[in-house]
Amino acid sequence: MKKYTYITIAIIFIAISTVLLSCQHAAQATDIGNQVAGIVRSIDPNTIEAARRSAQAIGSAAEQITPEQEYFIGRAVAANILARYNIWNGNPELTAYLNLICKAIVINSPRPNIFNGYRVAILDTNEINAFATSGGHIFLTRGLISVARSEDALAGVIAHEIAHIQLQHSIKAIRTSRITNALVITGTSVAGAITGYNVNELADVFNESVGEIVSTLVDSGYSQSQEFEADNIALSLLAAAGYNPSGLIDMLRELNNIQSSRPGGFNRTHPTPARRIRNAESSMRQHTVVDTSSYRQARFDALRIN
Amino acid sequence: MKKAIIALGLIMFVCGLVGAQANRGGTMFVATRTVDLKAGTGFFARTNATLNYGDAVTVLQVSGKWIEVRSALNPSLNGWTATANLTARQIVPSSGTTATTREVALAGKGFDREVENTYRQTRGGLNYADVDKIEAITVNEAALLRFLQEGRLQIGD
Repeated sequence: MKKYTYITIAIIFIAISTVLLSCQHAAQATDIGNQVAGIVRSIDPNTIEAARRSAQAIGSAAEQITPEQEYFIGRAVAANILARYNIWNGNPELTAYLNLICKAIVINSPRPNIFNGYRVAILDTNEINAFATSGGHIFLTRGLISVARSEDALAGVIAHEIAHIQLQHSIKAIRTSRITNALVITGTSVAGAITGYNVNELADVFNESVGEIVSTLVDSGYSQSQEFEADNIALSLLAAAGYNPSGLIDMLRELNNIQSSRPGGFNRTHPTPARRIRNAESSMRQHTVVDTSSYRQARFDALRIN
Repeated sequence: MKKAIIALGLIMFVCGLVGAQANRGGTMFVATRTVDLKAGTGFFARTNATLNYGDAVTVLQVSGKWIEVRSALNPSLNGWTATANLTARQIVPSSGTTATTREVALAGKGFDREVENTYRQTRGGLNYADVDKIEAITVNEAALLRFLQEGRLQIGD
């Protein structure tokens, strides 16, 4: 007994030390931008170009981008999505309800706020789909909302989109090196003045960034591993807020039932609901939550759309 | 067994001290457009003061996801916020109001309102009007608290 106790203590000690060391590494990673800035500030244009070329190797766009840049990219992505879909204003109470659910999730999450906060809007289409931007805009289609059978199922969808935002998946969709390099250079606090980027060039790079993200969101979708990751984080977000994490699985089951009759949209850009259910069920074991969903059913039924 | 528990407690206490020491006294920067400094931990704690994007703060202590800070510019302003609202990386906001801040702002030139305006002029067919409408959505705190309590949800502690 005594031997096992000491072994347990040793394991816990090693685990804590590892956590502390990883924090240190994380701090070092965030310093990369400042290091690049320091290099660029004091040297000639050729070296700046070298720093630009090496920037992608040093750090990804998601690590270097500032919260303000994420916000403005997110606004542009939202402006593109809203050029394709209309906002549905048919039921303002439902929009307010979705925003309360969103707020309930984020204030209980590790990242309760982003640059300009999180907001939910409804897209006026029967297509089953959802999008989130790095600016905190979350779009759910009328078709998707009509599939939900409980507040916890709606919370599951919103939590999945919040997870994409908190994991910076849209920024990670930027692949073009010209863009990631620009983000590294302009994202640092002191380098911009001498990088040679003018507003028109930045707008050009901005256009490319937004284009890559919109294409990923609407056409190709995130990688399957990113979708599974977003589902796993969503389960944690739901549990932390007091929602039943199985709400997400309930929603996926509903989507599975109608998958064959509703092609496009969600089906084109996400792994099949059956695969997501298998992944989520294996992660569900980590969460034990007292099921209080019955307290939320009446208010959901009052606003439910078909 | 009792000794082992005491030893474990001691180790965790020492590790906790190391973690706290690593942060205390350090400088961080506001990473959201505004941040409320609260009188205590928890979303519904009273707001002491509000700081702006890029404002520097000095770390006083950390408790779970919460961090207590003091404004570097005005030390009379202090309070708690979520650690994720701050960043260790220096931030220079894109909009400045004085000659000095304007000069600093130029140094941090990136994707900002000016770039957005150029993008909007060169691309057409974008729907920024509805984006602005969505961003005008607010959630009333009293209504939120009622929503959480009636639905037996957590209240952001």
